Amino acid sequence: MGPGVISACAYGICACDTCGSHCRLRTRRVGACPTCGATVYARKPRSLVRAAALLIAAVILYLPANLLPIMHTATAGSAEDDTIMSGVVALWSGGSWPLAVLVFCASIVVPTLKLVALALLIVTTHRRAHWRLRERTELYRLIEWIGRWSMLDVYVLALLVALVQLDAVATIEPGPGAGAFAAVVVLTVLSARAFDPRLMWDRAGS
Amino acid sequence: MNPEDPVDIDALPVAGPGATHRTPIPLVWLIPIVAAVIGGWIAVHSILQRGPAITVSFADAEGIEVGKTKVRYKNVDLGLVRLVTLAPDHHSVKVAIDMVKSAEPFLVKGTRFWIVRPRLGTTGVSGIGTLLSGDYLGMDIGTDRDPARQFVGLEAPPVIVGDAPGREYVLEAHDLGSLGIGAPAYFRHIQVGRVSSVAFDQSDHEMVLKVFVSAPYDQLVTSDTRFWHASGLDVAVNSDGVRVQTESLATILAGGLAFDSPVDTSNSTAAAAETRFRLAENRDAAMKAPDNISDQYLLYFNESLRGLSVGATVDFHGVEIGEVVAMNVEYDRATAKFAFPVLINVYPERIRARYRSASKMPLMDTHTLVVSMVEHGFRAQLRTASLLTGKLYVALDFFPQEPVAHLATDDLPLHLPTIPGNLEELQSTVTSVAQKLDQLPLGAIASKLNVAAGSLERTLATTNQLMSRLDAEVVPAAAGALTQARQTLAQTQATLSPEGSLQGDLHDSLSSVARAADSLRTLAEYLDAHPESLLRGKPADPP
Repeated sequence: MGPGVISACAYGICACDTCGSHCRLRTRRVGACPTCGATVYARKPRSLVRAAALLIAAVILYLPANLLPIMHTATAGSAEDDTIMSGVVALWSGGSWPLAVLVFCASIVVPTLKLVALALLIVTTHRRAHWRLRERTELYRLIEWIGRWSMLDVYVLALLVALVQLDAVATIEPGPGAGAFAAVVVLTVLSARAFDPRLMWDRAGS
Repeated sequence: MNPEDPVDIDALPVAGPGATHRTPIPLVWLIPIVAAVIGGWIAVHSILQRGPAITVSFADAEGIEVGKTKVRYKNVDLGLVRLVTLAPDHHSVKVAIDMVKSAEPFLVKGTRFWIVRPRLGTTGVSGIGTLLSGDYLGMDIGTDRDPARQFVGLEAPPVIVGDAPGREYVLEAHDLGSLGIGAPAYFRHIQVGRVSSVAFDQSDHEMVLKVFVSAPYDQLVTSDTRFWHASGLDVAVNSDGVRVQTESLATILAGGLAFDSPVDTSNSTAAAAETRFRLAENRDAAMKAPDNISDQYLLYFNESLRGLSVGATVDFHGVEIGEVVAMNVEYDRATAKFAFPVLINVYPERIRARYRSASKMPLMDTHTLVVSMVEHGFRAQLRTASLLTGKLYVALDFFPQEPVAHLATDDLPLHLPTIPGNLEELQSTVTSVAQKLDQLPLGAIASKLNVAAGSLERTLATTNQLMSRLDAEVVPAAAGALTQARQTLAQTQATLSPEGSLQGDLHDSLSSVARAADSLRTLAEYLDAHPESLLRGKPADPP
């Protein structure tokens, strides 16, 4: 058990996420809720493994997401491929500094931070570290909350693709990077979901 | 249940057995595997798709944007500019380009790159599309097989792209005129080609042009074909009037050249590519029979050479047989005199031998011929071609009255003797007249005239006095005399009138004279009949 923490898990009790009733788990840490029949568990099963697997997938796709063009702009006479970074640079050099900062934060800083933070959480939890448990928990909360904002780029792109379809004059099409980027965001969200923050405290205590 | 009550943990219901479909390896690992496969495939694909990287150097990178400027061949994108750097020598820029994989076979020696910009020229407008899309790099595939990765970019688009059918010929010209790269080449006013390059040959100081004649017109270029400048207007004023010649409106502005074969040519096989031709100044010069042999002669004229220019014609009895090549000034130290030699070229081929085929004699050596001609009074003379412009030309002709001259044949070029021209003769005559006029004692004459004029004035004054005296004295007397004369005349008339006494008296007198004449006749008759009466006297009357 964590320092001075009394957890329900230690007493073999868990709550059903579906109907809210409590029950006792016998030997294994997974069972069926006696009230509603939903699966109940003391801790998310294989939380670290799943979180790590999803995170690795996100890291792999992070490379093409940043290197491949996410947007293909074709205006009269010229066609252009923009990666996330070149889009930020274009916005910056175009004078739209606030927009550039926003896109830079949402599309580059946040996903990168998320990957780094998740990796940190998973590794420290796996190592049963006592280091800054409280701050790590807050970090986890932040990651969960911020995750959805990373889809900003994808939303903007979806809007642009739908709106700018003036065949002869200008068309915008998503590039291969867009899919990878969306996958990175989704995978990090899932990874954060898969990670059970209670494990940090469990492992630190045991 | 009261929330305030403590809960008995043991009283809580026990969870039933959950789902037990557990695999030894969690399925969640499939996700990173799939991600790795996708990422790997993308990576491999992009590596496989990566074409060769090339470097093209340009003098200036105007219009080239990293990551945007593309390389296009026949409007197909074949590459993208990755990097633009300054060359180490700072004289050029190096443009690094990532080409697509399929472009690899095209990257050979001789492949050319140039920057396509909008261009507005006299021969047309090109590259309009780049106004919207930005500049791009044009590409023309070379014919070589050796692969290359370093290229030197062209500063201007090439006139002829590699696969255009046709042939390129080399033209030598003394002067480029207004010809430039891209200048059109015409065959009978049809544009059939373009000037593809212009260079200056250091070794023989000639302009060397390359002209590309597209198929099928390249078949018209034979070894006899003549090329000439068709730039601008060719205005000629001659005895036929004014003649203006031009190829097309564009050549007036941009220049151009034209070619054709002489009418009497029999050669019809097309000339090989890179054949060298001479670019003539104009059509007439081009169509002239080529003067392969030329003899040089030196002429020393005593008169001024003003009006004579290099290129002036040398004419023999009105037929053009040569031209003036050079005019100089020579200073002779020994005699301290200046001489003005005129070097002329005479093309003996223009002097055709009459009945050459019939003659058994070997063709006479030109020098020997000229020596004998000079002995017969062959001389050079400067003549005025046009009184309006004062242009001179060199006339060769026979002047049999000239003293016999002998040519010194040992120094070349031969010195042809000269005689003063018409104008100079006229000039010398005028000069001698002027000199004679100058010798007249005009001063003395003038003073004498002055004296004479004074006396004349005095005489006139005297005459004037005389006249006034006459007026005052003579005129009244004369009037009296006239009255008297009139009276006398009236009297005379009265006297002479039939009724007048004079006429009666005269009548009487005349009757007396007639009677006297009768008596005389009687006497004469008597004497005739009786001449003895003069001696014997008159016989007594018969009884």
